[in-house]
Amino acid sequence: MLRIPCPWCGPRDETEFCYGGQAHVPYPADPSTVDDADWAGYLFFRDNPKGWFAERWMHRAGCQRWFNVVRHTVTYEISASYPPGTSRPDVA
Amino acid sequence: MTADPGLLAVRRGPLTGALAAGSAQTVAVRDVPGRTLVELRVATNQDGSGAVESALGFDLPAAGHTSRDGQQLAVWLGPGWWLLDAPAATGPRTLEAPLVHRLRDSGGELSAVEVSAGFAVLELSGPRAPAVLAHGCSIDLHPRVFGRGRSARTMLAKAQVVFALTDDAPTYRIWVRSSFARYLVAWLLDAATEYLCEDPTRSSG
Ligand SMILES: [Zn+2]
Repeated sequence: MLRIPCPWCGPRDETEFCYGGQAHVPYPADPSTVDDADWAGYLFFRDNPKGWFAERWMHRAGCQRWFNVVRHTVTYEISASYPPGTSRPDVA
Repeated sequence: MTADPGLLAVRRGPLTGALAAGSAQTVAVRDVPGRTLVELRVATNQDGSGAVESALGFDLPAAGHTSRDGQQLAVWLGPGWWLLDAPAATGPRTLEAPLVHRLRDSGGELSAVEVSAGFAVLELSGPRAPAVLAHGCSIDLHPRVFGRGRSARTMLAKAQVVFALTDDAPTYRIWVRSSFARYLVAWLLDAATEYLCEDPTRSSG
């Protein structure tokens, strides 16, 4: 069981959260000019690093807010938790 | 919710008919009937919640906390999101509590929705109350961490709840969806069983 630190509520059990995949994947600025390959890349392709990974979580059973977490995919260590709209902190 | 005696008589708390509800020496569960509950959302980009607070009559609490004014309680649920718990309004019968109209008329950018029928309100109190809660909840309830005036929206025994520490008995007020209320009461009474036999006023354990 992960203990995930919500930026507003503090550390809570993983079962209180929904997972939202990779963080910082911007919606294309002008979708009408995006070709099929790039659109498929935006929709379906995500990084899969062995190591530190910035990902989205939503505190479903608490404040119901989306936020970002930097988690190590091997050790499951969490090094940062920060609100959406802010950039990835330089911690890992 | 207005105090129409006919309506209030029909409303049943989840403890109605329960065989045992504990004791003050160890841990006790009770219904808190007839509360008016309002869910309040205020635009988070708004500069303060001053208009709302003056309509309410007291300050809204910060993250993870409650604030109160006499019998009225405000509980922080999330950024820009609060649960207001007030006594049943008296006066002429209306569909929504006067508090809702007062908030809507405050001029703030907000949503105020009466949810009294959607929740059951319980109180769990006594020296063993934290131990009972800890059976089904992963929040650190040590008084140093979760003291009077703290609150949490979280899971308790797989039920979605909001609870707050309202006094040093200690007493936890618990808000739970009506459809989960009887389950949660059954779970609380079961979790409390092992502590009830510690009560010196009970002859056998
Ligand atoms: Zn949260």
